[in-house]
Amino acid sequence: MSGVGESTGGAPSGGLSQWAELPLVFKGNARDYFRLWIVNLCLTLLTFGIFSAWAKVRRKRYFYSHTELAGVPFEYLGAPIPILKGRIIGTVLLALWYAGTHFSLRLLFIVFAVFVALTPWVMVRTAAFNARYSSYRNITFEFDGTYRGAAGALLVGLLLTAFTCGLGYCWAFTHVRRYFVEHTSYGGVRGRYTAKGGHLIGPYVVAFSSVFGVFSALGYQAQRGHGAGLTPLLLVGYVVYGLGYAYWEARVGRMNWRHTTLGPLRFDAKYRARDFIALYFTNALAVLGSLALLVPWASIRMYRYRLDRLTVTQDGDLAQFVGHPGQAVRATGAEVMDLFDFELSL
Amino acid sequence: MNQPSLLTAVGTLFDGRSPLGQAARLELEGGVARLVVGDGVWQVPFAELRVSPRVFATPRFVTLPNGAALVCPDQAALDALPGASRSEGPVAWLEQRLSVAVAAVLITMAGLAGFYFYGLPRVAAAVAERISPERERALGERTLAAFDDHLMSKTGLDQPTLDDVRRGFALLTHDLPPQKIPRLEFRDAPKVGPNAFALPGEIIVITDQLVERCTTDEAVVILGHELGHVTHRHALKHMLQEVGIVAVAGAVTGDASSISLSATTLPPIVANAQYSQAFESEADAEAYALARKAGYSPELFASCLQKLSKGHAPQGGILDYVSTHPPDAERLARAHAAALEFERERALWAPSALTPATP
Repeated sequence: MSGVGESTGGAPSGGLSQWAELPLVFKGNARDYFRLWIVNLCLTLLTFGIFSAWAKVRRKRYFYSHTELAGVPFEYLGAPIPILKGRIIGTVLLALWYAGTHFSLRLLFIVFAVFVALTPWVMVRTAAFNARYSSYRNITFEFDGTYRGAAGALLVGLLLTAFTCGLGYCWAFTHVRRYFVEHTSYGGVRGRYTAKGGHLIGPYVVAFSSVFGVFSALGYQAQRGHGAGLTPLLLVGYVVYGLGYAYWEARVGRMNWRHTTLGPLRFDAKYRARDFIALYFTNALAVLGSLALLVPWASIRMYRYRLDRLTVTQDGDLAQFVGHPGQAVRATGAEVMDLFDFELSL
Repeated sequence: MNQPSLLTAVGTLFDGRSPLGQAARLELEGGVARLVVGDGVWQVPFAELRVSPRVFATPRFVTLPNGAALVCPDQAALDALPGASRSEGPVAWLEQRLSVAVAAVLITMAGLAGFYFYGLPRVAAAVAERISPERERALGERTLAAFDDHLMSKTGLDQPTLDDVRRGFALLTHDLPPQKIPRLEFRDAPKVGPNAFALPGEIIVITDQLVERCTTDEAVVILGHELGHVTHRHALKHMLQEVGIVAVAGAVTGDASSISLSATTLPPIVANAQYSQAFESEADAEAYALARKAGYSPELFASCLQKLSKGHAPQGGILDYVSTHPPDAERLARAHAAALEFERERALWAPSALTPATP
């Protein structure tokens, strides 16, 4: 652990107030992570899911602790019990959603209305929880967005999308993301997000039109009543959807990092769509072929790729980050988000 | 005398305000902790120190009462300090043992298999028993209304044909109490084609296209299959099992949506298809039993199946695993076997078989 030894904070010597690329290293490996994963999965199944809160903390800790920026690892501070409480509430909501969509029309409308009203709250709590319990150099991230602010951003996004037949989605996406990035801070310094919808329109058109094309072909085939020829076509649709998804993820990930800054820190992510496609494809084969035993290997592989191609550059004085003690944030929202499988990672 | 062992943890101290650390050393001797930063030495109450849980060989964080944290390489002696998370210590211990990992793989695999083949179907059956069909009716009605809006319209069959099918259906449902007899709906559905299906809430729909393609007797035996779905509560059970599958798949693949979309969506599809095939086989068996009791040969099921599969692309190979129905060949073989049984039974009850055999 030479990087954390006697040097001052592991930062490149003499580079504290100048320009420097900060080394970002992932030190995890699939062998160790497999052990962590299988033990925690086994305990989760044996406790009928109750242990899943601990399992989540352990998984998070693994990735945080093995990620070192300028020689110092990140620290995950989330505790299992608040996460467990959040999961219980999330499960109840999920059950309501399921019952609502399956058994009663009136309940469906009520549940739907409640969900729409809850969405900004869930997103805000998730961002706050993730920020508050992510620590680097003993300074935690903070999120100070509000329900009202997030709801406003989402509403604008919704209107932008609805009134342009979907084309405005790119502007909606960047609008909502800007809200969340610019209300996240580290050591009193806010993140900045400068991407515009125009940056995304190319990838959006490519991904959307390919997926849309295949699904219209599917619909046409179904309309003509060729039920039997549908299965192979469905598989094709599935593959095209996977390709479109991987391509979109790579492009959006790249754009997001390039247009995000945090005080003196600049980011760049050299993600390539073809790499994402290859990774997603081989990961899917590995996971399916191994009866899910290679899930940890696939997780490590994907994370390593994302991190290896991410560069962090320091352009200014790090001393402008100043930490201050904050207060605890409830986990409920974050866990609801998790159960409904939204992804809003930075 | 059992003195706490001597500990010297060398690392970087972060005060919680500045991101820049200072080289520091934590010394522990005889229950007294000392923090050495440069030339300064501070006494720290041992009981107020907190050490983060072990995560393999990564550095650990020792938090001091004033909020500062010392990041230092892991060493066994750090376990002497009070833990920040007591519950995680044993988990970290388990994670580091190969034998535990092997055992966990075996237990997990056995547990998942048991859950899939034994536990979940039984739980779903028990829950389904507690939900009355009336509760499902709203869902069935809604589905039927949606189908009527887009895919189906009023039946175009003439009254005698309808009566014939209804008469056969009455024979099949003869043993059921009147309130348990499903509602039979005829629909003209060119987009659906020749088909029959059972909706939640004891509603059976049969398309004109099926009745036209098959003989009345064949259509009646197909209705026996749908009756099997209804009496075994397959629609509800399938829904419940789907929930179980999604919940467990979520636990297994966890954060895996980030590694590949299909890695998380395909396994539940395959798992559900296998359940669906089991339901179809059960409904087939019910169709044969009902047919035999009402005096129809299960061979009618086979002949109808053959008529319906004509014009289909031949299935087989890997697609069979994601198909909701068992392969046709398998179903035909079972129908033929049931038909043979039916013939044997009939021969047994024929007058000639009743005369005592002469030795």
